[in-house]
Amino acid sequence: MFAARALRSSTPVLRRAQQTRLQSTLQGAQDNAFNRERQAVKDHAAATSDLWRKLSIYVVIPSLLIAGVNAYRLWTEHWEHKSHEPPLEERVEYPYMNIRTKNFPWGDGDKTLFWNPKVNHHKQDE
Amino acid sequence: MSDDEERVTMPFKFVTGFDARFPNQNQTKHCWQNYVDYHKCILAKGEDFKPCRQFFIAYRSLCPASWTARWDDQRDAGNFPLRLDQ
Amino acid sequence: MSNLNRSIFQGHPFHLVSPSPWPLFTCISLLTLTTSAVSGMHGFESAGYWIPSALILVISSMFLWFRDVISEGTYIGNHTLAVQKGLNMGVALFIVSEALFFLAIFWAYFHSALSPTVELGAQWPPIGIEAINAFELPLLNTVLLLASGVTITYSHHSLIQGNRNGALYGAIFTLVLALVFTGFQGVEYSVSSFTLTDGAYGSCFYFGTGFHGLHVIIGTIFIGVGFWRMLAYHLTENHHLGLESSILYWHFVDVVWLFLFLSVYYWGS
Repeated sequence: MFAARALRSSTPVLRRAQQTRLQSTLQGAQDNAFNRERQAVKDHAAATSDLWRKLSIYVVIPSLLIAGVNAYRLWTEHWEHKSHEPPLEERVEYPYMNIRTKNFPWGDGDKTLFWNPKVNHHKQDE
Repeated sequence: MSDDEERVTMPFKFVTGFDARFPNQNQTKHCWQNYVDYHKCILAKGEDFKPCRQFFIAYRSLCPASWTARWDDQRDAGNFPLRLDQ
Repeated sequence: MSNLNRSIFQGHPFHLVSPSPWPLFTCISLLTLTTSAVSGMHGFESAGYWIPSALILVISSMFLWFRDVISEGTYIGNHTLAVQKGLNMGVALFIVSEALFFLAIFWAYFHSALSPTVELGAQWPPIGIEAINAFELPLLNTVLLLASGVTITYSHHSLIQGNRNGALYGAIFTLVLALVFTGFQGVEYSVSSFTLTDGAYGSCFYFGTGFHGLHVIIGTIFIGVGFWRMLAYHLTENHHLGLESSILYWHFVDVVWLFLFLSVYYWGS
């Protein structure tokens, strides 16, 4: 409400400002160093965005595919090899493994957050 | 105190001589290395192999008995944190 | 308001913020979070209720505060060039502080890994700990993050050019790649044979990758907000500081991952 009254050209400064603004919308942006730089950035952006588009399609997608296939191959190899190892319970549990100075506040207190019984084992000999 | 006459201050010397691999104050690794080397030695060469004794004397003088006792227990239990046969 | 109108009311281009409850609200929510977390770790059962409530409080305080910043910048027009420069500096300094945080994490890792203690058998990784093959999932994750850096750069340049479709698609692909990265890290965590409790190795590994993962999630949300603002026509070709900040943050997250990959996954195995 206060702003609306101010905009109604009640002061000479505002009237001049409004006129300048009306003039500038009819003629486009003023030609000064600031605007020239902005236009240069915008023109340059067209070229660089095309570069990044090409990179995204012709470099990114093939490298993702290669890395993906490689990871999949190693993954299956790894689990195939794992199945031939001795079972979890027979592995040596070194004194620095499965340290429990205090139990966890969830579940039975012994399993970590991402505990997976297929690969994690905690010897409970006490 | 009457004890003073019987005590003599001597500069510190390692029993097996200075080992340049462990020059600093913290001698933990020195103790560990000798313990490991002794046991690797007797595993590889047998208990009667004379040169192994050097390591034995070194670790017995350097290491706290509680450490060697703990490591002996770990070796017996099979979870000593090093492969002694490699 | 335009700078011309502003000059009637203030003789400087800066933004003197009007009174806001969000700083105090944020303080209270953070205090609730820390005290509830600490009490939970000391066995108080009530923390099971307080910790999630505190988390909701913190997230809502950030949401409400940033919503106000967006209103002030996009709708009210308080973010003059001078204000933008200041905000940019602020974001850069924040990222520097995050870098120092990760420096501490890497320090802890190298302290343990360069001279492993006798309790670990003076070797790294210690026996019994099966290090993750760096060229399996971690390499794929590296490619994913680098790819997301490429796509977000494309999105940024498209935005400057005025190419709305390019900007949106670039942002979508970045988000997808980021989510896939997070998913794969989750998979890694669940199939890893060693846990956080497995001595210094487990601690250092999960400390580094865990906090990095948290920052990836934060960065994903940051870019997600930028993407939503693009959709909602908030951003212009030369005024999109929120998006630029999210891109800077994302590049930082990427760099931290590269360090992690080289020093923890590759060197540490």
